Amino acid sequence: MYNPVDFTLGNEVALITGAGAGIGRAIAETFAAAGAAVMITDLDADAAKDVADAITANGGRAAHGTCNVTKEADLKAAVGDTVDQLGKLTTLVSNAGGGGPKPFDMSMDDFRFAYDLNVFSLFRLAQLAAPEMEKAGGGSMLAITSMAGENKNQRMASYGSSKAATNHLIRNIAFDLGPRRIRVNGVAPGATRTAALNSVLNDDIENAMLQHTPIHRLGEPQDMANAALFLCSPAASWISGQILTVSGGGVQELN
Amino acid sequence: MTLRKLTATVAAVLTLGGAAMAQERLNATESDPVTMQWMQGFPPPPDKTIRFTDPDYFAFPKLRWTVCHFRELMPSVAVPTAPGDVTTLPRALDPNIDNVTFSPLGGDATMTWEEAFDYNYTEGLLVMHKGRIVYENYDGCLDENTLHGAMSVTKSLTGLMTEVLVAEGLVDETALMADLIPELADTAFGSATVRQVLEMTTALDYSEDYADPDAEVWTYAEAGSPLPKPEGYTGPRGYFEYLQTVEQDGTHGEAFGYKTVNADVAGWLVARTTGVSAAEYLSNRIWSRIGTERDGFYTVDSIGTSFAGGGFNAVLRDMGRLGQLVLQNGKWNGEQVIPAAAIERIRKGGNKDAFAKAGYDLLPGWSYRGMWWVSHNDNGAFAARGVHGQTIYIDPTADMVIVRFASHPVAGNAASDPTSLPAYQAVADYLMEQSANPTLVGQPWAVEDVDGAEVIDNSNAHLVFTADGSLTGNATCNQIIGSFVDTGEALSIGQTGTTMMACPPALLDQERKLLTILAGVTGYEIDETGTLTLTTTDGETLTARRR
Repeated sequence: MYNPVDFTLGNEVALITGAGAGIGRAIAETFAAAGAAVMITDLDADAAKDVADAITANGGRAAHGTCNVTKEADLKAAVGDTVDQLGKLTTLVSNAGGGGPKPFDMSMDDFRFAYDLNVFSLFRLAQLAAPEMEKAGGGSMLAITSMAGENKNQRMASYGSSKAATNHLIRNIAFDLGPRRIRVNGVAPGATRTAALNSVLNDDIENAMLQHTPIHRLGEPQDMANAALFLCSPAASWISGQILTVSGGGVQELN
Repeated sequence: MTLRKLTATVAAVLTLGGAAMAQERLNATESDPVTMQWMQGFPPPPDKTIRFTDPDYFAFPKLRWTVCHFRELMPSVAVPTAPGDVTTLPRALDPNIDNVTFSPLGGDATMTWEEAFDYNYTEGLLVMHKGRIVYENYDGCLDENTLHGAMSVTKSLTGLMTEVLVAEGLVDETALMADLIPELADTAFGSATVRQVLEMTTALDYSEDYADPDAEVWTYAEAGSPLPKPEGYTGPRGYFEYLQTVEQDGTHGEAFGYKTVNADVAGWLVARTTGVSAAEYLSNRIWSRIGTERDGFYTVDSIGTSFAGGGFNAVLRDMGRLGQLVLQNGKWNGEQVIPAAAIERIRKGGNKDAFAKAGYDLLPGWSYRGMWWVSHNDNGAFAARGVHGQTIYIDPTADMVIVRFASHPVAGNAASDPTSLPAYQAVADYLMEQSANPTLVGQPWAVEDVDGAEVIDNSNAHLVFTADGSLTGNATCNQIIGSFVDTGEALSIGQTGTTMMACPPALLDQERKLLTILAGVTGYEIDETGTLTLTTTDGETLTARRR
């Protein structure tokens, strides 16, 4: 039977990486509003603080920390601090990622780095978070992946292939973690309006960006947060190993 | 803060004893109030409950909770900010400040700024340089939004207010207190001048020797406590009544004697002169005019008199704003909020000979003026100081303000001075050196040109090189996450990735160019104007300047 509470996150404790700005921030604020206590981590310590402050000021429960997801010590600290400061860990949003478009003759360091940032960080976080989620009786993991995991383009060898690996990692560890009452899913965002984008956007630029988007507007960070909320909520309790593309129906990603 | 706190602290220190305590006491991590579980739960368990009436509520380790919670334990009066008028303090965080090393006083070993943070039981530490926050860190009971007791730093606020009245001609510093506050005519203060009160060279039959159970400080504590008095109590009730009982012992003006009652006399003088309470005057004149984020609060006695000798509470950044106002000789955002002359009087310092008689071994050559501690060092640094490590340290030469909130187990600053005063000097030296001869590693470099083209207006492109070899910053739209190696001969940038935020074409172009050049960087130069030029083998350049 339909129960509106199934679409909320009461009693959940979520760790969100890259939550200092953009999509990560929208997810953090949405999860907090939906009842979760949230650990805000970001490479930018100030940004993480600001988000945690904003959530706290709105009556939510939040802690914050600095986290470089390519560093083992930081990942351990992020999981440990979440449990220490917020009592447990039931929800993981592996949002920090990137690597950037790179020319074909990039250095091998740059190529490896995309995998460090997008693939290895998710796998290691999943390993560290799983025992905590088991202790709490189960949990949900969500990775923000990319349409670049399916699309093909110039300059996307490192980023695109790493996101394809991310997608297949999600599909596989869903099998490992399902028996431990942990679900794993992904959200693949289309072009999303962020503060940096908004400051320079005009109709021409926006139209150019939306050539291949049937729902003719840019995505908002809130669009991503709403999808993330659904996939992490009890309403999605029989959904695992899936990648949900949130792109206004578009198939061409920005870069 | 009432003096009951000091009573409790000192009692605890005496009980535990100095040397034994140094070896056995909990370190900063172990004594963290969250770890200790003070006041957690509704209700907290009996053995984890802290009450104002506990004899040890302001003794270590309970003190580490109490410093952030005075307002829950005792009545207070607000020093209102001006809502809607907050000035955001600019930030240019320098991750390398943590690595600044110094030699603690009286030792050979070195210590880093980062190590000293915990060693001194610090809750909050802020460094401002050229008006920008270059370091900010919190621990224990404190965060950005939590108020902390300023202890005797309060005296310096009282002194500052009084110096403002002197500078404006509303108070004659040579006048006898008897002529300004007739109620004090028959007390020790009656025959003292305003200047003597402000420099604490009054000769008072008043002891702040906590080891002496008959010391007057205990009577003062009892008078100032807002708690009900015991049956049959006939002594003074409140600060005003107590101050009228202090008798003279000796000749005013000869020796410095650090006695809190002087600050409360000055607070009385502020109120009597201005016709409003010290709390209200502080708000009207200073607190509401320097963009503070939060109200400050004074603890009060049983009739609501603010404790001008030690009762102020505020958030760390607001104390930073106050320090910055003093550093800027009273100017804030171009407006002369308080007269420069008031601060010049303080900076000039007091009578060094009178100060030397008080025997502060760790503060040789210092003096006390306008209720501020003046170092007379080469940089002309001066400070507000309070027990357990509170400070506002102002270094005009380095254009630096340091604010520290702490809860060192030992009340007297002699316990934390060896690992704080040289650390402040080392950071001042580091910041001055960075200004004069900037190094690659340090504060953010704002990118100005990408291969000869000026960056797009309001671009957030900047680079931060950290001593651990990591490179962060922003490539225009996206955060940079990367690494670098500087051999001294050559600079190479390791992998550089960015986040993947959507970015319109013009900014994306700039970002791509910046990242392409960055990947090919083989060398750099910082010229005499402080401009950083990063160069590739193809001769492409990125130029940047410190913000």
